[in-house]
Amino acid sequence: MSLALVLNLAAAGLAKITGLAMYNWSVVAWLVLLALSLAALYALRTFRGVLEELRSVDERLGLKDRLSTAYECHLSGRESVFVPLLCDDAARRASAVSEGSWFPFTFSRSDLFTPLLAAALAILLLMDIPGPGPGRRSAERQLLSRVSQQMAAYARPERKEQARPKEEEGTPDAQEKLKALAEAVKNEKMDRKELTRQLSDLLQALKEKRLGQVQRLEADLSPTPGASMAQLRPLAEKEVRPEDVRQAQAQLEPYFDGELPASLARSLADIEASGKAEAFIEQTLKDLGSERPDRSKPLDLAENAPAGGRSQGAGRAEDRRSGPGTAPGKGQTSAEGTKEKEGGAPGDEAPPDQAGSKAEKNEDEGPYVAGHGTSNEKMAPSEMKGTTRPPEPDAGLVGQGERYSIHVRSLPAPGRAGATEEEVLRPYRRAVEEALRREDIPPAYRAYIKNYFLSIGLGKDETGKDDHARRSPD
Amino acid sequence: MQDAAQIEKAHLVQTTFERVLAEMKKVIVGQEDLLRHLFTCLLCGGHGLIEGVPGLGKTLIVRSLGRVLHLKYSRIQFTPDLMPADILGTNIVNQNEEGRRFFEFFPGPIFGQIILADEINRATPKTQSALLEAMQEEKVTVFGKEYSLEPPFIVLATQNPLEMEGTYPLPEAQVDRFFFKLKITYPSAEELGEILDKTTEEAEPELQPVVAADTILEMKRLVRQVPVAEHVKAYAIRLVLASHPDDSLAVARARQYVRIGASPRGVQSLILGAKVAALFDGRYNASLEDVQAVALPALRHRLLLNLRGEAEGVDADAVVNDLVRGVPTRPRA
Repeated sequence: MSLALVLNLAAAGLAKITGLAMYNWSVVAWLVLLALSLAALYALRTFRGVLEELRSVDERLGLKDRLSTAYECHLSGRESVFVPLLCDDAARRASAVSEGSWFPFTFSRSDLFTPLLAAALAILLLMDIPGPGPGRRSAERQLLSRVSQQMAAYARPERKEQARPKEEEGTPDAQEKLKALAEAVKNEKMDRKELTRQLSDLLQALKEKRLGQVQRLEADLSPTPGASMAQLRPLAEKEVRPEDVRQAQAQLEPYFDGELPASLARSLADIEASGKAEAFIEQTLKDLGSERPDRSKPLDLAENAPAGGRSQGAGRAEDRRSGPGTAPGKGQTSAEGTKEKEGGAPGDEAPPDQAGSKAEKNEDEGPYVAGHGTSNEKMAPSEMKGTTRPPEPDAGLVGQGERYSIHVRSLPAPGRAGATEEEVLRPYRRAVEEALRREDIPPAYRAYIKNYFLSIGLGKDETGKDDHARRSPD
Repeated sequence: MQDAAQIEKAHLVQTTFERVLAEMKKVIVGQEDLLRHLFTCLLCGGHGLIEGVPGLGKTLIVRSLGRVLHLKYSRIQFTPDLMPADILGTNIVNQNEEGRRFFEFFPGPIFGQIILADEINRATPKTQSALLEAMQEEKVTVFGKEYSLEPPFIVLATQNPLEMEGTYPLPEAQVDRFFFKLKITYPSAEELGEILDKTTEEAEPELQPVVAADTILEMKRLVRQVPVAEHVKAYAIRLVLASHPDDSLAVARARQYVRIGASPRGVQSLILGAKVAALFDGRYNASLEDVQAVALPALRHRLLLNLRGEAEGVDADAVVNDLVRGVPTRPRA
């Protein structure tokens, strides 16, 4: 019964976990049948025979092997003065034993498992247990359903026509994409992870598109006297709100006698539509539980600008420092186990402490390798062990910035040893202990043997007294 | 149903022992287990080694048993200068009426039925070995001529465990020939009082023979017919095997302290002793409990302790008790 319950419990649990509707009455019947078959097989395999059962009864009832011996004599046909007497005696005693005493029901702790298993099965069948299994799956299904509805509503064509058709022209691809995603989620062809990935890609594409629009707008404005990127800079930020667009529009209008050209107005409308689409996708991603994109880092106009299209943003991009190890300094002496690093471009006139912090930031970006060793310690050069001198400016070379000495600790050169000292000593120690053990000196004799050698003057005895002092009490 | 004669025959051992015990109690106080085991030795055709401190009545018990059993009793006091011929007998030169001289065999004290070998460990091994043939084959060979000993023949030897000075421990081969090794225990306060009453007053009890040699021989035959179940035999075998330190069944203490375990004679002693124990109990079959009951006297002298066991003063009884506790009555699957 316990086996049947265990099997049913396993099947029900599996059905709950996988969500498959595979557990029904026919499965229950089959499992019970399987359990009965296994139990019968086990009983057949462990059946001990009549003689063994009689021995158990003898032992249990204190019959001193009367029944088993009588049965054995009966089987073997042995003749003796005692055999008929023994058989009579055994029969008399067996008839005196009550039926319940032959195979008494004994309660054991394992019998408690049966009701416990039944209770567990009932709980599993009756309750929708929250946790990593079905509860989580249903919640995820609900979330995806809600998100798909939101996406479908956002991408609905009538919204495009009725609300602000002019401003939505910048995001038809995004809407199509969102509509397709909503359909895929609705038809359960896409899981949450895939949806998150697709939305992230779409968000990135929208941002890049918006950046291109801002750059095109910037190019359009460049012949206009007085108009500059100062008004457009908020539009190149990570997040664009409609207010930003309207503010930029208001700031630009005076340069065009109060009315923007149609192309500019259209560009601004596209940017606003892109921003709204981005905001929607970000919110959707947030609902899906993915991490929001990093807003602290602004979009880099220069990084995405087309060749030749750079204006004010390009100059800023040239100020970026190169990564560690990309431009080794002139004074680099790797043979000495140090690395000298140049900090800052020629135009960077930072004070020594500020320059030091720059160098420290570069230290954090990765390990430095010099000579045979590698240092992964992330600390400022002046804080590293072994550094005796503070950062010093390199006065001899103009525009080289500051030079730092970085001591790199490296592993020693490999020797010829192939094993550690402990590995070598351990077998020797074992051999010595084995030799001592083989002597087979009884513990009670060890003291005698030791005292014998002590008594003939080899040292001190166990009490610590000197042997000569012990011999001569004077 | 069985007839009364058959039942009476089956209970012959029990009733006879009860009569012997009643008669022995006239002079022996307590020691019922010892008497039971001595009677077991007699019925199994074995010999007994009795160990105990002086003054506990070892000699008295054996002498009284000889009288009660109506057997020819001989006593040999073992001393260091005792020679084998002093035990077995020797040929002496005799002269007939015609004046012709001839050798005539003069039988020694071994030619009895119940032999008391008192303080057997005081004689030299050579003299001790003179008993070997007699104990095993119930015959002696003197000057190439064999002389049969009259059945029933039983040697009951005593030894003192305290005085080791000037003694010769029995050879292993001879110790193994003793069916049981029995330890005589010190009497309790009540028993001591009873001993005083019986030994310090004027009237001395007179023992009467209650069993003849023929009855003893009949009982010896009966004992052999007691059925023993296979699992009881298997248990006795496992007990003996478990006393061997190298055997897979060996118990922990046997592995640690035993040099050589019990011999096959140990199994024989266990089963025969169990049969007699069953008959004493009024049963017709030997059980596992009967085997356990005789395990101590049957095995304690057959275990040879190693140096470590002797150094740590391990008692063979403790090892046998471990065997009884540690060996399962059913073989492990």
